[in-house]
Amino acid sequence: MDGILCVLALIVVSRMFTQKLTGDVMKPLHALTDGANRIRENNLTEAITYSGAREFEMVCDTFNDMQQHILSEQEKNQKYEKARTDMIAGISHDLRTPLTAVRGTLKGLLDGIASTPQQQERFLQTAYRRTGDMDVLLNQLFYLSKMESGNLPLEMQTIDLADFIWNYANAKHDQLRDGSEELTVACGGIDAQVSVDPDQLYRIFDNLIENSRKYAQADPLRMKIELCHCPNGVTVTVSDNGVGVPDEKLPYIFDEFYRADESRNQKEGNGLGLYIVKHLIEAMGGSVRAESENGLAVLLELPLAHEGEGAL
Amino acid sequence: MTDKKRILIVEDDEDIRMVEEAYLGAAGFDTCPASNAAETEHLLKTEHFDLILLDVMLPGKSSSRASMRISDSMSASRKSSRVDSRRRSGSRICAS
Repeated sequence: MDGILCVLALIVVSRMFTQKLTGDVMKPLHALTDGANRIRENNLTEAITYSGAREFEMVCDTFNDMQQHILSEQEKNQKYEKARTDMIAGISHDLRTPLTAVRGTLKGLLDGIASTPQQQERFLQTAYRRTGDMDVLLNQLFYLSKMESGNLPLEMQTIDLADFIWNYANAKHDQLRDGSEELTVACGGIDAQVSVDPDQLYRIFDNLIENSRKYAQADPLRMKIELCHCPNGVTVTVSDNGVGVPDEKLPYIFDEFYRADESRNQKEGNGLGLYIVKHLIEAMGGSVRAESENGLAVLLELPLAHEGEGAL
Repeated sequence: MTDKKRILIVEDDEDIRMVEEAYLGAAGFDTCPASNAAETEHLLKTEHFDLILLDVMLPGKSSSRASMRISDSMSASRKSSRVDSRRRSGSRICAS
C-alpha cells in the first residue's frame, strides 16, 4: 500500500513539475510568437516584455534588438526614398525650365514671332545660354555620380593653404564683373599646411563663389575668403554681403538639390553646388557649416597636416 | 484708349516671360509682365486686366496662397475662372 502511495505521489509531483516547466518554456515562446506576428503585421514599435528565466530573457532581448534594427533600417530607407524622389523632382524641374525656354525661343523663331533682327538675335542668344545651364547641370550630375559611386579618388597633397587661396583669388580676378563684383582675401600671414586634393579644393571654392554670384542678390557683390586658426586646425570662411539664408533654412543648404528658393526659379542654379562642397570637404577630413549674418558665410574647417603626410 | 485686351503675364523666368510676351503681343494683345507675387498683387490693385497667365510656382511668397489671393481678387471683379494645367512645372491659372 505504501508503495502504491509513493508511486502516486511521484506521478503527481512529476506532473506538477512538468506543467511548471512547460509553462516556463511556453510563456517566452508565446511572447516570441506574438512578437513575430506583430512584425508580420508591420508593427515594429511594440517590444516583447518578458521576465523570467535568464536564457529566455536574453533571447527576447535579442529579438527586441532585431526588431529595433529593422525599424531603424525601415526609417532609413524611407528617408533615402524621399531623398531619391526629391532628387528626381529636382533634376526634372531644373532640366525642364531651361528646356522650356529653349523650346519657346526656337519655336518663336520658327513661327516668325521674333520679327526684328535684334529680337531674333536675343531669342538665339537666350536659347544658347539656356542650353549652357543644362550642360552645367548635367556635368554636375555626372560629377556627383562619380563622386558618390567612389569613382573619384582623391589625390591628397600637403599644400600651403594661404598660398593656394591667394593663387585662387588671382586666377578668379579676371572672371569677376568689373565694378559689380569684388573678391578679397584675408590670410593674415597664417602658415597653414593642410592635406587636401588641390583640384577638389579648387572646385569647392568655385562652387562657393558661384553660389554667392547666383543667390546673394547684392550689387555690388562683395565676396571674401578669410583664413584663420581654429582649435581643430584652420578655418576658411567664404562670405558675401548678400541677402543670406533664413535661419530656419540654414541647416538644409548642404542637402542634395536643396535651394532656399522653393520656387526653384528665382536664379539659375541647381542645388548641387553646396552638396558637392560638403561631400568633398568631408572626404578630405574636414567639415563645413554656414552662418547667415549680413550675408552668407560658409566656414570650411580643415585639420593641419602632420609632418610628411601626403607630401609629394 | 486702346481697345486691345490686356493680359498680365506672371512668370519669374525672364526668358519664358519674353517668349510669352512676344507671342501674345504678336496675337494682338497688350501684355504687362510681373515676376513675383507682390508685384502681381500691386498691379491687380492698380490696373485692369482681362486675363492673367499665372505661374503658380512663384518666388517670394507661398505660391498657393498667392494664387488663391490673386484668384480671389479676380473672381471678385469677374465671375468666371478656369485652371489650365498644361504647365511645365505647375498649374497656371487663367481668369477671364
